[in-house]
Amino acid sequence: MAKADFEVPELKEYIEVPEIVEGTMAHSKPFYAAPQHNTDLGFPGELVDNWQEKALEKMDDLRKRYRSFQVYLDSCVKCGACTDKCHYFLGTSDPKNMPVARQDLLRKVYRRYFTLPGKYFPNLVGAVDLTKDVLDEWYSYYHQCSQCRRCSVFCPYGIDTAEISMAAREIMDSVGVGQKYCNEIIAKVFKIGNNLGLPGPALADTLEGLEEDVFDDTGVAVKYPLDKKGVDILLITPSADFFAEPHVDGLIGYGKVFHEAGVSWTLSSKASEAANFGMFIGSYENMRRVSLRIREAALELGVKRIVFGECGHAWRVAYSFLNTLAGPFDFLDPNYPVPQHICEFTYDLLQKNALTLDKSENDDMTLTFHDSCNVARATRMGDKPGGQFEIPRAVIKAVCNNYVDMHHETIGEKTFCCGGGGGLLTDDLMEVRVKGAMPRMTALNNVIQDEGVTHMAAICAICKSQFTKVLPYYGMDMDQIVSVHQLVSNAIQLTRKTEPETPGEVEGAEAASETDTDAEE
Amino acid sequence: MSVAAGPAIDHRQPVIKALDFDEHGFLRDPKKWSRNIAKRIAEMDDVGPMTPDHWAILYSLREHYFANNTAPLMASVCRTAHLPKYAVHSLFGGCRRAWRVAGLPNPGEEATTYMT
Repeated sequence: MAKADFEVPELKEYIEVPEIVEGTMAHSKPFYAAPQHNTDLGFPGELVDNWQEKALEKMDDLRKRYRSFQVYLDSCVKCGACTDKCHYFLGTSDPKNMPVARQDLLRKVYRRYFTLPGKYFPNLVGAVDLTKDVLDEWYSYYHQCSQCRRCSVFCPYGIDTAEISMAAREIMDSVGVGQKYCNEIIAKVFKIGNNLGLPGPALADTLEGLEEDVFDDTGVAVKYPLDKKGVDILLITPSADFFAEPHVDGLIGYGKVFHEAGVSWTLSSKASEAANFGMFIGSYENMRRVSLRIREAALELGVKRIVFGECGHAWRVAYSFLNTLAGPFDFLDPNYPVPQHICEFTYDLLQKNALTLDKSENDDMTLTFHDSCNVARATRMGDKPGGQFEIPRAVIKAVCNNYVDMHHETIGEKTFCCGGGGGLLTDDLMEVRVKGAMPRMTALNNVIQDEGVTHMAAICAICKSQFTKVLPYYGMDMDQIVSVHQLVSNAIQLTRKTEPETPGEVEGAEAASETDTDAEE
Repeated sequence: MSVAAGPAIDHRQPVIKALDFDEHGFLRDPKKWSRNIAKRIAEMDDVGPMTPDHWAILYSLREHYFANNTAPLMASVCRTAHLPKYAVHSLFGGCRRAWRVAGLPNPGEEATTYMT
């Protein structure tokens, strides 16, 4: 079991609502961003002199720009429905991690400066001045929210806690208080093209290695192309897929699926990252700048479709915001979803019996599926409500014989966060990550004990990475987390022995593209 | 598995004393690396005893790093070293430790997040 310099929660049969322990997580805060990383994103390098004035100006700006933000600040009636729904509260016992209390850290300042009773009778309405202590408290507790929005599912007013956390982080950034993890990474995307800072030659090297590995394993030359012009599909995937297990096994799977579908595709060195941490810090401008790379890459490569790999929050940005951030995508083929999720792509092929699968290749595992928050509560897949739950499960069940769901209160729209989402996936927040994983670990442990589950699949790079590091704290093995397309990769039988043709590269390009369409229809 | 911050650095060791590690335990200047230094870091991290396979991984890691100035996929490192896919883990107990013993500098926030 992994060592920890804090108390790892004990897994019990049920997820119990803890007795509150005031201030127990007040010490938790991530490293501050270096001035350079703040300025790279258009924020002041360090805390500005007139920070109170600037912070309130920003809050005023946000409430005017986003009507929802002000509605959420005004409408909470303190009913308490959200209190025991947050994994960080359940795992840490800190009452300020009850969603209502965490929101109130900002709400009480809003009330002081923007409401009539707060201006004249602050003590009567729980309004407080914006002091340095309040700012420090914001920094601590708004980095103990993974913006998973589970609490919002239970809120009778539909208050979106994530939006409040995002606003708080944006206000802090606007006065020069940035978080190292998010800001350093966004700066890296602007500079190099992806979160990991992998330059084009490193990507090419990795992809060439994957081609060799797949050829050694299967005897079939599956290609993993980079910056190939004139192909049908641009694949946008988290850079973790180029870097670490089990992510890279998922990427191998996408390539095999494209190969079998007979479609031409490519990755892009310019848009070699699906993740968009601009959302985590609530910065529309940065989120837009990150998104525009995808548009530019799609135009430069002349693709007809965009497909997203396994990344949770990226799918939220893609599904919900991409068109307004970087659209219109009128240059793409309107016969396909813009954009499309890799699970939708594979699911379509399954519906048409276009894949040859040997489920017994995964017989050494009994699987369960972790719904990632952003996919579950902020997006959809396919053309039916709930497709985002059904389609990944349908893909898993098509390639595995042994599948069991976790307790129904912990999956689907009520899924528990992995504990590392929303820009918290940094080693300096390991305590809150481990404690916040407790509810998910409890549900997983139950199906391990009762149903013989051996592995958990996910479609989010953050979830996979978080579990890789957190599972050992709970006495489980880091290899127990797998990619959905890793399972597909294991089961898929490669029947097409040659590389699909790129339209335009060969004579009869139209015929080739027709064949591609046929294969998918 | 070590947690959060980098492993403790034993500054009493003369070889180590002369070196400049960052707050995460990574050597700042990869050119100031030698086999002797690798052996000392390995001892600190409970890696080893060093075998030709360990060295093959370390040289492969350094080759990949100097080629692209970034942390590579560990499976590629193993392939270049003609070793099985999971050799970095079986020999060093994780890629972060291998990276440190190879004397390579901090690969950045996201890379350390994904290094086990």
